[in-house]
Amino acid sequence: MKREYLIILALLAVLVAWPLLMGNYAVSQANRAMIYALAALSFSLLAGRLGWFSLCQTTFAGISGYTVAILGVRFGLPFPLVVTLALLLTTLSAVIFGLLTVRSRKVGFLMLTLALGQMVWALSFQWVDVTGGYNGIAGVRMPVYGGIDFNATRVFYVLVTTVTVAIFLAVWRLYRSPFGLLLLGIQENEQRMRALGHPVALARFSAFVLAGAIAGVAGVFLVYDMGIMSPSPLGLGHAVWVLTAAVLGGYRSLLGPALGVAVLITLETLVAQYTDRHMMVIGLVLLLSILLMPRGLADVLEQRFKRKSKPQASATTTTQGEEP
Amino acid sequence: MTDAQPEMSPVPALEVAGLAKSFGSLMVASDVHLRVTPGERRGLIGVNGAGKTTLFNMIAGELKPDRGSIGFFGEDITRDSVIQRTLKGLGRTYQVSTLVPSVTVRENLALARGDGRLPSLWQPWQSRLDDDLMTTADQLGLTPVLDEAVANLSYGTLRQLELAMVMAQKPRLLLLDEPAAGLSHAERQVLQGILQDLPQEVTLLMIEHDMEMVLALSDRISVLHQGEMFAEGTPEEISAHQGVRDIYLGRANG
Ligand SMILES: Nc1ncnc2c1ncn2[C@@H]1O[C@H](COP(=O)(O)OP(=O)(O)O)[C@@H](O)[C@H]1O
Ligand SMILES: [Mg+2]
Repeated sequence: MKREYLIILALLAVLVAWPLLMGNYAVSQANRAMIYALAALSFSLLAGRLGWFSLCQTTFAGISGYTVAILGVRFGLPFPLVVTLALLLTTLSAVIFGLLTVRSRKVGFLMLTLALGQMVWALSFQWVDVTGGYNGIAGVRMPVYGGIDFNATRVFYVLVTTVTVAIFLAVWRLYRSPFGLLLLGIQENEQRMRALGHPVALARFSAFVLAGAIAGVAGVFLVYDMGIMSPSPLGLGHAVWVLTAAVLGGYRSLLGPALGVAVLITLETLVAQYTDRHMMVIGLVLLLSILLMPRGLADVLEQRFKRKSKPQASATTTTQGEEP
Repeated sequence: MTDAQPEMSPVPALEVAGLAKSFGSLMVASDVHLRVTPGERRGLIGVNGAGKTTLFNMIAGELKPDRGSIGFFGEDITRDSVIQRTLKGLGRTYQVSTLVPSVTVRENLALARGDGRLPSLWQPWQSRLDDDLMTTADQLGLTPVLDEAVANLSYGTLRQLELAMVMAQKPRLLLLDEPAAGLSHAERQVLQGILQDLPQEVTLLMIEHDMEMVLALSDRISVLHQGEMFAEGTPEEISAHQGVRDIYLGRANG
């Protein structure tokens, strides 16, 4: 209990210190990491609570990003309206995808999200009039308010960090709420949850829409961070990258996905100095993490921590559910 | 007003009529009739594989019958979903119970008493545990294991948790599928006491192989055999019934 709060405080301290101590490149890397942490959180909410492995969370981010680019650059709408509409449209897409997938399980769900993701990806480069095809839409810029340029790396950092932390805290609460518990219950014993009087399909659907909305937020930040929206973030490679990060970090825990993203980005940055074969590295990392720590880094760290701090006889409270 | 016998037939808590179910070529129920009056304690016996659990699955809505109807306090629920039946006041336990294995007993208890709506996304789950629920859990001896993961529970404790969760639901009709199976003698005594203390308005339909317990608890007993109700009567009548004795002697006793 108390240890949890300590970890969170320590993390917050690092997040505050980061832009004060680090250079521009490290801060912009942190921006990218937090955006992908949101995407990985969106993935993990479904994978960890419901056992639903989605390949279309990055698609939601992409839909959100395209909406921002089209409305902001093509139509020149003001920033608050652009963001509101992007999140609304992404949530609406999640509602539609959710209606299509809510009855499916495991492999069926995975394949459906793959199909939906691929369809939107294809649309993104074939619908040239609207999306600009492969070239995409360039010139996506954050506004300047009261002399503060939100495009500046450190200003953008403050914004991204604030929103990301708020969303992680909200999901933390959600994981400890009766709703979060119900999602676990549905994953492990769907029939029983129904017999206990819980609306199983509605709970699944709500989680899916929520996860979609979180991915939508990631998409808004992503497009402003890149300054351009193109089909590539909607491709399967990105979906697999997010999946890898979540599996590596541990999708059952709250902070696992963020941890996975941080490790993966650090690794890529290091490797980039020697080779440009990113996907090889990702593949290798996924392979090793599944073989060596099937429950993810977060779980490994936690077990290590537990053994050191207290030799408590409670091997009973598993990591699922509440411990971040 | 033209009712022939208004006193003799109150609206039954459960009225199963002409229920039939086959799994492929295996006919498990051919023409099952069962009428349980409100407040009654009914035992349901039959050899292993007689189709008792299958009958429960159909009553609870988890299995669609091929034919027949199910009435619940005068209402036809044959086409209702599982959750609709639960919300109308039907509660059941399972012969093989698992619940949510990865979390604690306490968290499982917090999942009891669904009301058909989404539970809170913001409150802590502990907010669903009230005195009423914890008292039920305590009566069933769960207090020492509240923080154990369900996956680590002994079989007997799991059954008690199962029962606590369904009792917390305050069902009008309670279906128990072999509640005493796997319990120690002491645990059986506790269970029997709890079932005896159930509020009078709760109707109980109980599958049980422990004849001592069935005889002690039941007002009436029904015997399911070869897809039909073979006999029905008071515990005295059933224990004296030659046909029932033949079934139990002729085949392996459950
Ligand atoms: N879902 C199912 N599919 C196929 N056969 C089943 C299914 N459920 C039960 N059976 C079969 O139906 C028969 C009755 O089973 P069951 O209702 O569990 O009996 P009981 O509870 O009286 O021991 C058994 O032969 C069993 O194998
Ligand atoms: Mg059975």
